[in-house]
This record gives sequence, structure tokens and C-alpha cells, in this order.
Amino acid sequence: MAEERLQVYANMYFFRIRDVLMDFFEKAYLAIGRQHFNDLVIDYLPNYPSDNASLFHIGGQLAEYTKTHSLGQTYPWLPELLRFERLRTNVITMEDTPVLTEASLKAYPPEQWGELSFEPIKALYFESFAYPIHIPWKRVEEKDDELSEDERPTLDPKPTPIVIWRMTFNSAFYVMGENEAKAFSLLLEGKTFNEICEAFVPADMSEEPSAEDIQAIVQEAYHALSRWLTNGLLSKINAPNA
Amino acid sequence: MWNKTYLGHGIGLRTAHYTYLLEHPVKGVDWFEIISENFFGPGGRPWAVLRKVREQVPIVMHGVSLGIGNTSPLDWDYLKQLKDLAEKVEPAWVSDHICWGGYGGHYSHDLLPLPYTQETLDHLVPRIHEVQEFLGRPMMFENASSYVSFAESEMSEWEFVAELAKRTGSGILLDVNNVYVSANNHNFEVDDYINAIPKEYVGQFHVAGHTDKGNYLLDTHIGPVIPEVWDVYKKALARFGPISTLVEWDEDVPSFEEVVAESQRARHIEQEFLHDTPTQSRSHSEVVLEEHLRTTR
Repeated sequence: MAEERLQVYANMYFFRIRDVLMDFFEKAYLAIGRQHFNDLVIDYLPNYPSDNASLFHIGGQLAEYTKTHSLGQTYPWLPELLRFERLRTNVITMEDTPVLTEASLKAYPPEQWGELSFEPIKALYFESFAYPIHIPWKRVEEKDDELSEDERPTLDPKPTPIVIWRMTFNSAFYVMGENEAKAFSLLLEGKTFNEICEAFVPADMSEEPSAEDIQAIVQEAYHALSRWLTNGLLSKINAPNA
Repeated sequence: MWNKTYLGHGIGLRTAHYTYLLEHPVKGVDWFEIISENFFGPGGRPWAVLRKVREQVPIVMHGVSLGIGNTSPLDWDYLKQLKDLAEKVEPAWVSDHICWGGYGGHYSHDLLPLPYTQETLDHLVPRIHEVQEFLGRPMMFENASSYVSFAESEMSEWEFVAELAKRTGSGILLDVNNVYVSANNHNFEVDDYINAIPKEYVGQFHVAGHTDKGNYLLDTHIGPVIPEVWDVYKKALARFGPISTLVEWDEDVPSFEEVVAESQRARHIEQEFLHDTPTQSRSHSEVVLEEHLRTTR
């Protein structure tokens, strides 16, 4: 009887933390299946017991740990999917900042736009993942259930730039194309719109581009900026003489 | 003596109800209890919900990770976050549990039982004083459910709870479900527990559901409160008078309306009790309750 009662505490410790991890890493859990995820947590917890008063921080090292775990060898994309989901969870409670709209940009005369720079909202990550982990994520999202072994994807490594942010109260993301990713990196570095446009210059463009070429580049950059504003990724516009 | 501000009947602010609360005004709930640690993050939906309900009703803060019984030094990073939260929320009070929950910087995220000894009291009392001084306010401490007891214990749980309150000036958050669960698990009488708790220190009640596991009862905060626990609640009302009461429902959380309905059961039981019981010497909280009923009807 005493053993049964002590087991209550042992079980509660494990199951409470495992259930929280299943919530935080829901797509990874469904992608590899309940039994595999359970095994992963059993191995993870003794190595990384909770070191924060808040359960919100539990699983902070799970992605890194999984790289050395047999499941990480079987599913090489798993650590990156775990890292992705952790960041998606993080943005939920990150600092609130104002969110700009396209109207905020249009308050400036177009001739000033080239010298404007931008700041992102605080609840945002822009990361390059080693695998296209949005593929298993979306597969689970569509099935809304555990993937069978046959349904688990085999992915080749491919750098995949993804922006993750809090849209209103929910976590959102999208995969950026190569040029857009370069442009967004420039924005995060504090570059001006003129400098951000350079991300869209074709590699084979002549040294003396035509007015049409320049116009096409600016249009592409504007579409990207417009997309970032529409999605609520930006928080502040800095004008040179403001 | 604990400041027995009567807030009426509250429920826990839970993520399952965030969307509802962002879209609807608070109805049928006099106050909310938040899990302190869930609001240590700086922004997002938790804070949007909290700000909205805080504009409408009082909030109390209830922690689960203070670890007042831990043998490790107090966690000052945790306490700074707790104090910062209290300054932002301005809660009616702050509470945690009589338990331990971690060691060496690691957290069990559980409410682990303590041996009820003078040595444990001597360990807890200065820690509670230190915490209360740091927070600049007295705290309330809740009796936790337990599944094992210590052969070393020199006193009953109720003697320990009472002594701790007397020596620290902290309030008692009396969880009547936990009294019922532990009474069953350790074969003691609920009446012995309730009747030994000093009236002047009890500032809040918890009532909740639990799970019968056959050989023991497990404090799960699931499902409606069972009649036997409502009976313990009535015993508590009989001894302590009307006390701010919270219905806890944390597993398989139903709709907001259903949790509120369970809280209304507590309200009706309390109101029936007040009408059926001859008026004795009226406590401060009874006066506050009558004023509350007068202004809310």
C-alpha cells in the first residue's frame, strides 16, 4: 500500500510534465506517435529536470537533447520540428508591442520610403531550420491525429527560413522564399527600404539596370513589405528626420 | 489576525475560458483566482484576458511553486517575479501551499507532503516571515492533499496548519476537498480537522472534485463537487461563517457557464446556510457578505 501511495507522486511528476510537453510539442508528438514521444520524455526528464518554477519553460532543451537521442537519428527532422514548436509556444507570451498596418506606411510620402527603416514586433522569431519542418507540421495539421509510420515523412536537409510570430493572440508562421528571407534579414539589421530592395536584385542583372528593372525590384520589395505589414510583423517605422 | 475580506464566489482563470472571456463580460463570478506562475510572461493572450477581467472583478493570486517547505534557500528570482506580478495585478491576496516542491534548483511541479514536526515548523516560520516581508503583505497558505504521511510526524495536520498560522500571521486557505481527500487517505475525521482550525485565520475556501482510485482518493480537480465534499463545505461554513469560496476545476474543464454553475451551487449552499442558521455574533465577513448580497441583488 505504501508503495502504491508513493507511486502516486512518481506518476504525477512524470505524467504532468509529459502532458504539458504533449501540449507544447503537439505536432511533433503526433508526427512520431504517442509511444515514441512517451519514450523520449522518459529519457529526457532525468537529463533535464525542470529548473524553472513555471511549467512554461519545461522542454526548453528537448530539441537539443533529441539530436543525440535514437529518435533524432531515426527522424533527423525531429529536433528541428521540436525547436520550431518551442518557438511557436514562446511567442504566445512574449512582450506586447504596437502593430503597424499598411496605413502606417502610407502616412509617409512615397519619396521618403527609401530612407525608412523598420522594427519588428517583439513576439517574433526569424529562424533558418535545417529541414522543411513545415511539411510534417502541415501533415499532422491536416490529419489532426497521429501519423502512422508510413505517413511520417522522409525529408532531405534543406535550409528553410521561417518567420514565427504572434498574430493577435495566436502563434502564426510562414516559410519565406529566398529573396524575401534576405530582405527580412536586412530589415532586422535596421537597413533602410532602399537597402532592403537590394535583396531582390537578380543575380544576372546588368551593371546598368533599366528603369523597368529598377521598377520591378522596387515593386517586389514593396510587395514583401506590404505582406509583413498585413501580417502584423512590424511594430515601428523609423524616419531619418523624425 | 487575517484580513477576512469577503469577495463572494470565484472560479479559476483558466486558458480554456480565455476566448470566452475576451468576447464576453464577466457574469456570475465575483472574482477570479489566477495561478501566479502562469502570468510570469510579459504579454500576449494571458495578460490581455487578465487585464480585461481585472477591470471587472477582483483577482487573487494563487501560486504552486513557492516551495515554502523546500530545504533549499528561498528562490529569490521566483519571489521577485511574484512581487512584480502582485504589484501589477494588485490582488486581494496572494496564496500558496503548505508543502515542498523542489530541491537543488529543480522543481517537481507537485505539492509534496511535509512531516508535521516542530523542526518543520521551525524551518517554515522564518521562511514565511521572510517571504511576507519581501512581498510587503501577509500570505495565505493552503492545506494540500496527501497520499502518504511521515512516521516522524509529532502532530496532526490540523495542529500543524493552525500553529503555522499563529506563528506567522499568515492566513489559511482551507481547501475543504483536500480535507476530505486526506481524511479518507489517512483515516482521520473531517470534524476533528475543521474544528481545530482557528476561525480568525481562515480567509478563503477551495472546493473541488476528486477521483476515487479505489484504495485512495486523488485530488484531480475534475468534475463536479461530490455531495460529501459539499457536506464538508457546510461544516466549514458552520464554523467559519461565509468565506470567499473558489470552485477549482482543472481537468477536462467544461464551458465557462458550467464552471460558473458549480460556483453558483456553492453560493446557494452558503445563502441557504446563512438563512437557516440562527444569527450568532456576526463576524466582519458576515457583515461584508450581507452588504455584498444587498448591493448585488
